Amino acid sequence: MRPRQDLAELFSTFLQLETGTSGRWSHEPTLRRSILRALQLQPNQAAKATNAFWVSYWLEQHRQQHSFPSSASVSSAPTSSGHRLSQHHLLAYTQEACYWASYRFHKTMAQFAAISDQTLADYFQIAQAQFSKVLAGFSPDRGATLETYAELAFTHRLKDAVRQQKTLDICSNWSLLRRTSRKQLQETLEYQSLSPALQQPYLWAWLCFREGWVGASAPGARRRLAPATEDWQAIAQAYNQSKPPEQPLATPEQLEQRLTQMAAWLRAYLHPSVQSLNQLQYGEEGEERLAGLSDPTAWAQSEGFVGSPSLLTNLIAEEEINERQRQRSQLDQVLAQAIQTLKPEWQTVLDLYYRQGLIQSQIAKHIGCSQPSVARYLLRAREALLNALVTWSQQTLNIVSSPDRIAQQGDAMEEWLMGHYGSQSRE
Amino acid sequence: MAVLSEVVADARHWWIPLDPEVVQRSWQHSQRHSQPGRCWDDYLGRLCLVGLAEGLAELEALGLSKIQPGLSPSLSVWTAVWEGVGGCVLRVMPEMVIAEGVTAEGVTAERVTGNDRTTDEIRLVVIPGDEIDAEALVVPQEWVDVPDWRGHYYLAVQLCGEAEAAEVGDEECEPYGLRVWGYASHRQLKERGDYDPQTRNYVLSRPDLQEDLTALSVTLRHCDTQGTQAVVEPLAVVSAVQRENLLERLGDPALAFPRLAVPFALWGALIQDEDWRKRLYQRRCQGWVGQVDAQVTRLSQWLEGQFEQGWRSLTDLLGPGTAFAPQLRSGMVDSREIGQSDLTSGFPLKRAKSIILGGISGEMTDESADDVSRVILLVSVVPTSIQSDSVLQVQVQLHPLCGQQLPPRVRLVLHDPEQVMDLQAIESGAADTYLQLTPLTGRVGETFQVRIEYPVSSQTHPSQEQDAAAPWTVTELFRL
Repeated sequence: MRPRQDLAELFSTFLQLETGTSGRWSHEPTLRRSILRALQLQPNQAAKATNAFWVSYWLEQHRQQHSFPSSASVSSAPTSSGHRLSQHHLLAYTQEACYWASYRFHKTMAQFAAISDQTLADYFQIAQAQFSKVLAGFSPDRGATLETYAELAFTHRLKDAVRQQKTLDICSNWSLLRRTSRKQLQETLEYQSLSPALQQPYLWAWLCFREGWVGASAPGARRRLAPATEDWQAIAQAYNQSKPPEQPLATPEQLEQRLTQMAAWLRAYLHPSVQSLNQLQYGEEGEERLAGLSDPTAWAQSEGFVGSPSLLTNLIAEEEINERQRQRSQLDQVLAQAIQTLKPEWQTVLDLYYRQGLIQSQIAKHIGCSQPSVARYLLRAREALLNALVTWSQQTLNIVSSPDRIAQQGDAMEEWLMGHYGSQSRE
Repeated sequence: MAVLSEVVADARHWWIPLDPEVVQRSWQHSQRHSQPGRCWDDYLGRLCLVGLAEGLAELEALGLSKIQPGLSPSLSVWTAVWEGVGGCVLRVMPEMVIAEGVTAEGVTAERVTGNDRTTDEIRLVVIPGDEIDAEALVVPQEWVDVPDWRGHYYLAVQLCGEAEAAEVGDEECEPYGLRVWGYASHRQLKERGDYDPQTRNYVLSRPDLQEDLTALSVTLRHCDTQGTQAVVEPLAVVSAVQRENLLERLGDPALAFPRLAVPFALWGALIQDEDWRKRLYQRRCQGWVGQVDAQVTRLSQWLEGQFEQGWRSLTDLLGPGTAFAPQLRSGMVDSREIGQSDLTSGFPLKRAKSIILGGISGEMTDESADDVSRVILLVSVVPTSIQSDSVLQVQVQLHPLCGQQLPPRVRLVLHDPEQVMDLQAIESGAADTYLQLTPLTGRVGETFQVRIEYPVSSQTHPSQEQDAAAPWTVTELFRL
């Protein structure tokens, strides 16, 4: 993979993976026009040159127009075009992070083909499809760069996706419905363009189904595959008794139908076809929509954001970027030093886990101890590092520890560990 | 071969493997509710109270060796909670670090433990689920807005392996386990969570949740609980008449969602009161009440000095200087006792109940009973170790009260009420001085039944249909 060089390229090209690990960069014309235009309009010549500035710039744009914070998924949420534009610039920017996360994940999974045997390109697609959720979790204040954060977050998302996929493959429709969160169902119904009012009969039916049918029998015994007639009657009774008054009564058959429909929608939503993934790229429709908006100022105003790039420049002062860099080097110093004070076997476990990407039983074999011991070492090592970081910030920076603060430091530490060991594992 | 849960493990989360026996037992105990959904919440709750508490200690996840279920150590109390709403509480008493520094020798720390000025008991509310997507922590309002139920932190827990075990069969089976994948403080839930008025849940989406549990361990070491909880509205003041009405209405087992049927302030006021909660359960689950609420002798409470009526110490029961139970006095039984006889600890703890075989009640006041039919049921309890009183050893013996021997054909039976199955039965012969069940070891919360059978009819009508006549029986239900 050829490293990307210039700014315009970083924010407007996507990696096209072919078979194996080779790939090429392909331009996205709309994004390219948008970034070039923004570069031109940007009066602050010094700031213009850094990646960090433009990451902050698009993040700020994205934040300003973020109308559907957590439920926004790439293909479903009715987001504004400006919102999409900034998101796609950032997606372009994190292509390498996505690649390396997928690359490492693929390398690990390749040893366990029985569990998941997808290709690197598959994983890359899966990870990429999760970008809006990845982005929603990013907080620049923690010290990590977007690249480092994204690589870690993509890795987590890949793990989730494989875990979900496995369950999805073996679940019947009924147990799938039972094991889906209300939040995900709402997203599914939104994806089907159902208005909140139209979602109601479905969500209530599901709630009653969930209370009235468990599907499990004693552990180890085979699951009952579908609700029986009497289960449906009980579900219908619960529905008619508890539904909102404006909803009509429903028969057991109607409820069964409704839930069957939901299961089908759910599978479609969880199994996005290749086509819907490609919505990431702009089609002709997207071009059209964006045609009048390629001037960031005009578009920012049209989206209700009053301000111009020069004002934004002030918002994202250079000092802030410098401050973040200073934080990063402090973090680096404290944690690198703290690692040295850990017990040798803890250090080994960290190295095997983060650098080599080994799983716990492999680590156990490697260092000749039990798997529960590895779990304990890893936990204690991370705890000791975070503790060192918290203590250091209390003593040196006079920061009073709070749960929020420690949580942030925890995230920063994980991102640091990933960067520290991860960068060494790419060779 | 590696399993999926291990391959996709995340160092930020806690993975707690579940003992299949705990899973099996939790399932069996969880089935006494009005609806499948309630049984399911009971099942998940039990797995967390037993499996999670043990697993966390094993993993040294919070740097702690002891984690206790909240509200009450007895699992039976939870049954009534889960009839209303899922979830449970673990209580931890963390070690708090007051000074810490990095020296040449490594990290040094000065700690204060427990009961000190700065450390409070910390309540971790556990919210279990088995959703395949982990996009939000969904907390029932009860755990957030009922003042006494509030936690300091909330743990998002996912049960893994359940569907795989049921649908795939044994070969490809994923191990049962609990994945603790995130946490939030009460304040975060209140301030950043979305309240869903339809389902009365607080929903905190994943980006607002802290996924690195290591941060929780470190937080407990460095921060006290101040500021972790937001203010909540007081619940309604409910008069006795109102409560009876509520009970009447919500006690109907056909009502699918009692927690959603009346305004929350009313429901919360009802459910937070242990007594009313129990009554609500009794109404909704009448069929099960016998099993849950029968006169239960709680052996773990004996260790705290609380004894049910009828259970007396041997000296109290026998009185000084009477001729009763000579072999009990002679000390010949003592040599066979469970546990180490330790004078200072006072263990094993013994209590006895007198029973008249064939009598109407177990009391000794029945003067007409002949001496032969008077017996003593003797129960000895001892914790298996000094560190932990959650595992108890129990011995059950049946002694004659007056004579040297038990009458023949008395049966002492050990019964498992969960599996509805006799586990052990012994019968006295012509010259047995006493009967004794094999000592039992069990965990606090487990139940067992002891039944004494005596063929009364064979004595009064020796010639007729001995075998067909049901013997006289008396049953004692014990909970550890």
